[in-house]
Amino acid sequence: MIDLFTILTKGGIVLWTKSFTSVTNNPIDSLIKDVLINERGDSTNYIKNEYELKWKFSNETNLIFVVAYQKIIQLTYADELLNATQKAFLKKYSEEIQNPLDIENFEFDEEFTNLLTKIEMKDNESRKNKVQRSFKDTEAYLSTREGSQKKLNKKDESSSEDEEMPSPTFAPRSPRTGRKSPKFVKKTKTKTPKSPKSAKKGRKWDDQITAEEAEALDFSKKDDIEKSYSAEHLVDREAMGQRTKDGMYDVDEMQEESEDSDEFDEESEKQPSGKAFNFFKSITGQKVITQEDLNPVLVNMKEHLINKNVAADIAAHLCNSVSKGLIGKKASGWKGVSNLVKIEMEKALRSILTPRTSTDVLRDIFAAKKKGRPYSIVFVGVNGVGKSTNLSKVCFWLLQNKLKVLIAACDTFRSGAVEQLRVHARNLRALEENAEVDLFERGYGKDSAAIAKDAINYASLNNYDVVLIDTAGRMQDNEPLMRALAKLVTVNDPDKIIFVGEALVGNEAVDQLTKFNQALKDFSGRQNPRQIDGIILTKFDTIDDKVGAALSMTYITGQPILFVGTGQTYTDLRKMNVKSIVQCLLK
Amino acid sequence: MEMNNNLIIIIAIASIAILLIAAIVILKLTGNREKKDTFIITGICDSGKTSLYLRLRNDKVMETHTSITENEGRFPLAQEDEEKVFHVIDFPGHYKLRYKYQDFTPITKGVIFVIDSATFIKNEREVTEYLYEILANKYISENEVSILIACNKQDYLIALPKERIKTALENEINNLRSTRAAGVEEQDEDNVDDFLGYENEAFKFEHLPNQISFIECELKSGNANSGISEIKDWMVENF
Repeated sequence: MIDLFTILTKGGIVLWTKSFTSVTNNPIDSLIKDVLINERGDSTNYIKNEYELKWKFSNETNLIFVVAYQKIIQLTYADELLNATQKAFLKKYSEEIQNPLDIENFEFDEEFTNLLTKIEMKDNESRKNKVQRSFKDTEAYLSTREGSQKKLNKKDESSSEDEEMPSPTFAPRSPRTGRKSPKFVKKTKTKTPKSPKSAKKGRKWDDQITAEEAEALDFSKKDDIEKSYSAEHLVDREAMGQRTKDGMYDVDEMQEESEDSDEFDEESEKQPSGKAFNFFKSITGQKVITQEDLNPVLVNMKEHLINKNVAADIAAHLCNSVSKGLIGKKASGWKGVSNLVKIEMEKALRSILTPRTSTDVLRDIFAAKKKGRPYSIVFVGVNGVGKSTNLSKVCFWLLQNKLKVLIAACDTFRSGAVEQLRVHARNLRALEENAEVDLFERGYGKDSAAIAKDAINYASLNNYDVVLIDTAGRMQDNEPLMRALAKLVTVNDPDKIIFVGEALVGNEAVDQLTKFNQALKDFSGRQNPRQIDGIILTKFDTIDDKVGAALSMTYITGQPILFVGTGQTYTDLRKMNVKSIVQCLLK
Repeated sequence: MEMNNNLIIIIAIASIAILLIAAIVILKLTGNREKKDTFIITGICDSGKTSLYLRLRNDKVMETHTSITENEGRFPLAQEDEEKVFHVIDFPGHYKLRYKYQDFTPITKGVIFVIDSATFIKNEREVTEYLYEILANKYISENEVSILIACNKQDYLIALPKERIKTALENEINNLRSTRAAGVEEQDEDNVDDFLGYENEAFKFEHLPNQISFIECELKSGNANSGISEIKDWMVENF
């Protein structure tokens, strides 16, 4: 059923791989380039051509486990296979794995085949059972005369069957059994904070009554629970003490987190080793990081990012991807968990903000010039963000580089828009010696797509090097105007579509960019619709250190911030410094 | 008498403390002044950096994918002098992860820039931009770090010979030089790139203070004459 299973290091070296058919186009490279490097930590599967891929990180050993299969198959056991293989592989090579390059050969074929057949068999069986449910098994049957007669007998039968059924498939080495037992331990662990909690509750008067508190007051159940868990009371205490050592024992938060997410539980299941040993490790600083350790730190980090004006969704995504990268790592020596989170976050921010393509616009312009055609740039954005102002700044920079520029006034809507550009053109001519800049205008109320078309034609006839197309500002929800913009882009196919956005926006940045991109896609009527190619971030001088918009915008589009506007004059155009933005965000 | 004793003890403790602090400070200082002995392997994605790393390390040919983190190691070169331990780092070539090499340029002894000769025409600009960035790096040019440009994948039919690649790189750097010098300044800029070569003259690699060599290689072909020995010779020469 699966096509390929690969175990590779984060450095890109394949340690072990097994392919069942010949896999074309190397979907793993695309997975790494498109998903893993871009910090899209939330996605769990990736579809490329005919393949669907799932993967799992093992952070403590810097390994990645990837499984690929045909996307038309609904493979239900991919996650299970990944987990089981990871466990078996790490068990077999637990010692050597720290230096994987010293090992001659990873002989893992046999184990893997065993695992796979086991899991596939189980999957088949469960499917068969589902299909072959006869009338006698249904509830309706019980209401028949025959059924009601057998009711009592059947109950006994089915319960004993349920217990016996799985045993043949569950061989002792099967992953299921391996997983089940830690899960049970885990359960006792998560429940244990309840008993210390009921004692602590009295101190927290200002807290609202939570579900847990209500549960604690529910004495009808409590007696039973206490009885059944009293035997494990010692274990509970140890687990609790271990957490206090970290200084982050926060009952309320942990309770919430551990209850509403199964995934986290699964992550911590991986370290079922003795608690006393873990306790010792926490003293010596060799503690393995779990989701519980990360949660309080990440909550703070998320808050911090939101305070820096990063859109809330994006802050959450980022924290998720950071936690995925840290779980299982060892918090060493002096560095606490929060320090590690900060380092990991810095890496993530840096790789998001670093552009993935060249930002050398000038080089592109010269390439176009060589071909003898004008290079066209369209400026789009919502109202009042500074499209015309920044267009004139870019124009000034191009004129400094001795390029011949034509400004196309395609804002045929707002009164004064054309005149504003005329003044800019006049000023720019006066500022630079021998500056060649002209305004192309057709007045108000005309179709802007046609004006842009005329402008580009005029430019190529008169040997202009660059055409800067100014468009009317529009709200992202205004459909007729968005259609007009898509038309302008489709008709003229400009070399660059630059989105001009304010640095002042917060959550709104997400909405603006996604809707602009969506409109360009939906209304273009082409097979390969254009998208926003770059961003100019304006009013950057007004925001102090709240630079979150830069992050939000690059995260959504994946496109670089080409320039930032930092003032009122023509020279106030800068390239963004990724390092200083990252520092600002983490300060 | 007792007072005197106390005083002596205090002085002893104080002097021990001072000695300890001094020792720590000295250790720190010497620790920071690291030796320049690092060889870095760079180049754009899919050019064969990790393969080269593996060949250097244990002469193995393994399947590789795009790297997310760097591969780093201190080892003697495979089938070479055991005494000479090289510090080699292979950096990911993806655009977003490239910046990592910058932290290591102050301690870099040599740069191996790997190029996929088969797809060079398609990626010409990206390759050159990366090479330009390295050449213009403050530490690389100040320390006159030697650079080896390894034209990999010569076993492909459409691979360009190194001479062609060299002239293409020179032409493209010539273009880049003008656009980079004219670019918009960066916000609170601290490191201004140096101008490469001589002004008013077309760019040639010979104009640079660094020693730049070109070799052809085919790291994954299994061919006996794969060029790996030339790379090793170059590394030993620059050790």
